[in-house]
Amino acid sequence: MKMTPFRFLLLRLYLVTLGKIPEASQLLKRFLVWRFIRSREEKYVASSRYFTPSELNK
Amino acid sequence: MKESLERIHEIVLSQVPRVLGLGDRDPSSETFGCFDRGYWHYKSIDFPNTRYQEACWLLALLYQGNFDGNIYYQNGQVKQWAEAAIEFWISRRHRDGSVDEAYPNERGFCATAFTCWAVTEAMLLLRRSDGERLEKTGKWLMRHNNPDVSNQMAAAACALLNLYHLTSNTPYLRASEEKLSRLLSSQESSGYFPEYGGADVGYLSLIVGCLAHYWKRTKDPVLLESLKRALGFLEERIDEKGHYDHHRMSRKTQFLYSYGVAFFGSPVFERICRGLEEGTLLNPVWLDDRYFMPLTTDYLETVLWALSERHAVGAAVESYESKE
Repeated sequence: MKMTPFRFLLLRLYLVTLGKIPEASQLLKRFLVWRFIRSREEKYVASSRYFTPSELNK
Repeated sequence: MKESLERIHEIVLSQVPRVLGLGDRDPSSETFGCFDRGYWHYKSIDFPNTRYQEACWLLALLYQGNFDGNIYYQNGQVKQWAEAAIEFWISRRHRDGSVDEAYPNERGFCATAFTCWAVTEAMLLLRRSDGERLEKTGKWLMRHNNPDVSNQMAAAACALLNLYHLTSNTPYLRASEEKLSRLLSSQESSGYFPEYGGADVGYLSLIVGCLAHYWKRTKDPVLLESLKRALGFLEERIDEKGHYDHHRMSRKTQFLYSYGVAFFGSPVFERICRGLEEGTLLNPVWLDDRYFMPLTTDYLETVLWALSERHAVGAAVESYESKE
């Protein structure tokens, strides 16, 4: 899923308003973990997709 | 020359996996070819910085350049990634052909000039014949200038010249000559091209490299005279280990580009190599993701240039060297 200006705007709006309340910020974190990690077969890993030379032989 | 190149050669090869790690290399991804990892992978921003697409030039050079340790030479994957980087850049342009670097709808002259230069260099290296797809960017560059910042004007002149070579469309040639003429007329008598009103050694080294490309394709004698003055300015201010007082520079840049000084046989090149050998000179390894890529490309061009044993050097350059 791409980060679009609309999604970015919604996220920031939430973070600078309700996100000031720690519980609301944590709720968002739990949602993101569920949406992009737990519910997915191919889980999102930030420290991935780096290059290794084996890719040259594909 | 070959011995002094060793460190530059090492640095280039150490940075290629880093460049590739920044790119989305999955052909099934909707952001395939995007080299702004913050956009396509971390999703921490809502628009890609198109300057990262300059990776296409580095990859095209690796694909075409046969040198020691280049495992990317003539590799089909590397060609595919270079092509994908070009395509992503094409797709991210505004309707008027300009591109963004720092914020959405920026339509930056700097980003449009430098990315178009890199993309057209890559297209020439990959022998593509679809240069007309860049028409709206060419027209945008023809209409816009930023005379306060000479390095951007130099990049725009090179981009337009390359567009002429890709399309045989003479208005691009005329526009590149106009940009160059405007740039040369702004050169100060001491030899520098102004950057926001003052001299900047780092950006001047970039301009010399940029205009070396221009000269290579045109053999313009007026340009060569101007470059000799610029090289003289650099030679007076850069010490034996490639250092200069960057605090006194207009833009306070700390880097030095090597291709132009190597191409024209300036003693500054040996000084850069000495600083790199000693481990005291700023180089791509120390730079962040935003700035390491163009300097790595410049180093790679230096390697390829030196290995070509200057066979393509015209008599004018030889005569410049013989005066040293």
